Amino acid sequence: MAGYLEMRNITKKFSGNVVLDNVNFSVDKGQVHALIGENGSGKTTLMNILAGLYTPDKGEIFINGEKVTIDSPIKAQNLGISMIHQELRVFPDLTVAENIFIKREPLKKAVPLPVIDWVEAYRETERYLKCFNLNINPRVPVGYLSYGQQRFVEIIKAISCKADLLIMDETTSALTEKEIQMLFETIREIKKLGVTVIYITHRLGEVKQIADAVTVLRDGKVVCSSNADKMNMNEIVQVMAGRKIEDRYPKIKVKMGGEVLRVQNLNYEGILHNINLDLRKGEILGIAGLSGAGRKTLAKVLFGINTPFDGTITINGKKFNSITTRTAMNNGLCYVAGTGTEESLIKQLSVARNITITNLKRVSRAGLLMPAMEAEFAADYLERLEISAEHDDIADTLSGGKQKKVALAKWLFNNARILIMDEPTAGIDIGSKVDIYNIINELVLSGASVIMISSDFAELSGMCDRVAVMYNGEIIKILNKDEISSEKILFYAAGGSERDL
Amino acid sequence: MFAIERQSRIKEILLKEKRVDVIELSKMFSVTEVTIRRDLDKLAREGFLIKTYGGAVLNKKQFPDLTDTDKSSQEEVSTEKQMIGKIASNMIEEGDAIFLSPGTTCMEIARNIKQKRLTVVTNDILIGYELRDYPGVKVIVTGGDLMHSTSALIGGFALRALQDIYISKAFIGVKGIHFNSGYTVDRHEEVMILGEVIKKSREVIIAADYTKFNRTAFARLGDLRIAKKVISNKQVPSEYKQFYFENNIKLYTTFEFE
Repeated sequence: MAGYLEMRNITKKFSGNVVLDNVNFSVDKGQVHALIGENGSGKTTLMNILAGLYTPDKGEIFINGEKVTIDSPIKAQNLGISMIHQELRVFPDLTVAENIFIKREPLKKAVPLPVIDWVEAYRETERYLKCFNLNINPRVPVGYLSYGQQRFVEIIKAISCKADLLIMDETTSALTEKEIQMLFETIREIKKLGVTVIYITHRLGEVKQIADAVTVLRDGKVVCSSNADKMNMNEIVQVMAGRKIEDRYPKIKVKMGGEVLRVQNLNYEGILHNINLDLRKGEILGIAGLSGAGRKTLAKVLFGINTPFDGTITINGKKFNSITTRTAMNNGLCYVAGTGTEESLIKQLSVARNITITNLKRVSRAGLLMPAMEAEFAADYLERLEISAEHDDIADTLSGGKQKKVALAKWLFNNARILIMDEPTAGIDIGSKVDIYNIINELVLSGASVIMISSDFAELSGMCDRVAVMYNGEIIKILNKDEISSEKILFYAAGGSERDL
Repeated sequence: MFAIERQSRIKEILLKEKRVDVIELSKMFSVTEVTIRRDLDKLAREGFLIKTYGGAVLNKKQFPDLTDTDKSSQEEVSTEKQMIGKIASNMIEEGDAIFLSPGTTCMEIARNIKQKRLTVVTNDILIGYELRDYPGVKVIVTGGDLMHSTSALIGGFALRALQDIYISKAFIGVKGIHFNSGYTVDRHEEVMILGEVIKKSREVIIAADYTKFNRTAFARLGDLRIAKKVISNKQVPSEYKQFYFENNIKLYTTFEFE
């Protein structure tokens, strides 16, 4: 039966930014339909509309040819739509069974009053767990389970709702290979029952294994939709990436010096596997990957936030088997966190306070903080970085671009020599963007080194000397200057390997 | 050193350099920044200087013989030009044949390439002269009519010198950069020479400090898309930063850190 679900001319804007632009998306009954695209291409937004979390600015949704309005999650549920979100949404303190049956607990039949039949709930849960070959006690609070097991609790919850349409948003990220195969087995099973699955993923390998049809989104538009067997990996990568302009980034050639950072056989918590990396003086090293690949975790391990790790990190010739944020800072390392993550700036404090926080000794005399010195240093940095703000402005009142620059200023104030920058230009105006690139240039010219984590592959191609591509917690490819391109980065980031070429 | 001695030294430095920096001074005299600031406060009360962010500048009203405003504003801009020169030198590779257009901005580029091995073609006699002592630098001065009261060569002879040569990177200083009027220079005779250079060059790079933006000079060189690279300062108006980025033109701007 064709045209089970149809979304027509869906448009969605967030504060003026068009996130979805006249999207037409249709899914057949009983199909596994893969929805793919780079970070920020609009996949999740489109699905959130279907799940009733967002209402579209324009467009219509039809189910079985009938027009429906989905203005709340409950409405979606009543229409048989169930979504498993990218991030875990479980109640860690409730048991497995309580999580699965929340808000729809089975009631005791023999009693006229609504009394929950826990015996039935646990029995039912046990049955599901057995189906999945999961050796879990249904009476254990979910918080005690491993990440993968928690995922399966969510999956069971979604399936047990008897949904007609199941949306899975990057469900496999952070699952082990064995768990992924188990999940695929489940998907095949529920498909037989006539359930339709929309499967959002970055991993092209999975598309081949599980999907009947593929739709590719790019910059909020559908760029291609067809049967899965008609497309090969290379084609998909090409339509996903589109033509990117890499030749507008003001990259400066810098004579590189010796090695300043080396990471050897680094493992962390089963999230990062066997990471090997090196960074030279004056180098800009890009770290690419799709969300969930482990880029941020790696940055936080290097900066001593995520600890302990296995392996060694060598900074300027000094070997470390463990790192605290203090040692990282004392050795010239810094982590310029992405703004909007609450990790970069203390939003309620003034610009001056934010800048000087990395080195209060510099603005103290005899153990006393000197506000006048703080103000003066801050004013100096505001001028040097071309930030039009006052030192006593509250950080939260500044625009995104200015906040990014202040986040950078605070580390320059501590004289950082190895800067790990997380999404340095995401969501800021172009003028500030161009400024950030040139500030990075000036940093490497003066002998600093930069690790640049970015989802903007064109930017990585334009600015970096090398790009390390991460997939599933591993660095699967390091591209050298002469071989970097957006397409190549995406190819490896989506799980492509040399044999697919 | 006594405070009074230090203050008189600061005065000397100010008279010579016209500006001082708190951090530099504190290092120079091995005293804290607070002490320097106190010194500057005192000199400010005497009317000798005016405090600025991170330092101070000479109070020119007190020194009429130094108040040649033209000169001091030139000097201020010249640090911007120096930084442009540094960025430009990073774009030049060994063995390049480059062109440097007349003017102080390209002069700064010349000053930063003395240790390289390359060929420099120029129609500025001062730039040619500046590079005379460096064995790695082969200098070709075009010849031509000397433009009155400048060091620029123009006219038929200059044009003829440009025949049959090819330039890998042409650095061109301009007097005005504007959305409507494009790149402009002072005289149309210069446009004839520069137009020929642009034709002969694999890559054209505009080098101009930020004061040239939103200004229009007499003769038009071309629109803002004639060069794929532009070197300027951080103060470039944001709308130009955006324009260049959106038109796939690389804008290099200078930033100065400690």
